[in-house]
Amino acid sequence: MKTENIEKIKKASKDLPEQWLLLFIVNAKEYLETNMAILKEVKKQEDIGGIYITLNRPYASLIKILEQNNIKTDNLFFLDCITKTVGAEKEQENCLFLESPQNLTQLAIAIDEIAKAMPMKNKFLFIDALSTLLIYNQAGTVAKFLHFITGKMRVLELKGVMLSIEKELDPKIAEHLEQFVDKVIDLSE
Amino acid sequence: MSEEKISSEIEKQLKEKDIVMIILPKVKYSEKIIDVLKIVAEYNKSICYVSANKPEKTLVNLFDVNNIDLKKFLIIDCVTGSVAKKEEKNMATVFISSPRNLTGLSIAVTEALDLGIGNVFVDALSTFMVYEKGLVVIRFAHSLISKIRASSSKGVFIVLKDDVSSVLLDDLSMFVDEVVEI
Repeated sequence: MKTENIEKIKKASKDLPEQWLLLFIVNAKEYLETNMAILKEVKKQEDIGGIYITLNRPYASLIKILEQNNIKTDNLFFLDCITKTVGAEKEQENCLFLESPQNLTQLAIAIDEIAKAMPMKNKFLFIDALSTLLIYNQAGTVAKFLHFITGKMRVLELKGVMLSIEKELDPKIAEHLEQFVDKVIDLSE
Repeated sequence: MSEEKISSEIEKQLKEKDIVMIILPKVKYSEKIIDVLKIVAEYNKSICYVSANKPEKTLVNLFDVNNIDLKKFLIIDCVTGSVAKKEEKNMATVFISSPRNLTGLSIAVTEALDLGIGNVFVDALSTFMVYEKGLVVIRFAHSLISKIRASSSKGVFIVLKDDVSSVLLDDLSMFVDEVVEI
């Protein structure tokens, strides 16, 4: 990953309100590496806990990747929208297996319940990735979901990180999202 | 990148990563697919070969000519159709009625994974896009990759560069562990 992009990640939340919402536009070829770098940076904050929504990789694979990247998972709770679609879920203390990436109502309810149940004051929501929501849902539905969820994050005082692949975002959604988030960080170049 | 460097890069990624997507230009497809297959055959005890481009008969000849061990392979043939007779070789084959039958293909791969197959080799994902909409194939690939991961197996997905839009390639890149573009 370019040094310039590492700097952009480090400075992303600078000069923003405490409960910031960030949208990262990521280069597809560096997607995993960038994702890990962003998560590491967010987790650097003291006594922070987070909800990680995984739409691309099953929980078991994601845990393996996080370990390989030396990212501790003890303060993370996972909402896995993939594993159940292939019938491979095994009960975990820090993961809830949701029906599918299409069931946005279930996802919204889960975010609300888990965020309220987390004991830490400093919390974040990590959405990996918006692009996958668009593979499984219509653009309009995703736009409404994002409007609802970003509002919910403000009310619940959650920090927010959303990832999207370059070129993937529907222009209409991109326009809306720019209004919902505090900053868009383009790491695609 | 020189031919030698390309081969060593492919070998490195196939050894280290679970799910690899290899993007080939059409002009190099026939030559490179054999190179990749040889590496996969060397490092895996059992391979499920999903063939969307060549019928089983052609594959058998190709494997013979290139000294690739047939005994390691379970072939899922999406080309020949259900009417073809099984080739009398030391190789297991499952016939799928057509490349459009993604449900049948998904069931066949799941059964192969249940048998403990170590690697699923899809040749080529882009061919399914001739028969189905891009988004349908992307969802299918995502499901297949999740099944492979859940079975702790490995996967190699061949994609022909000119056959897939850059947006769909970006989607696929998100699901795999490594993308090797030749």
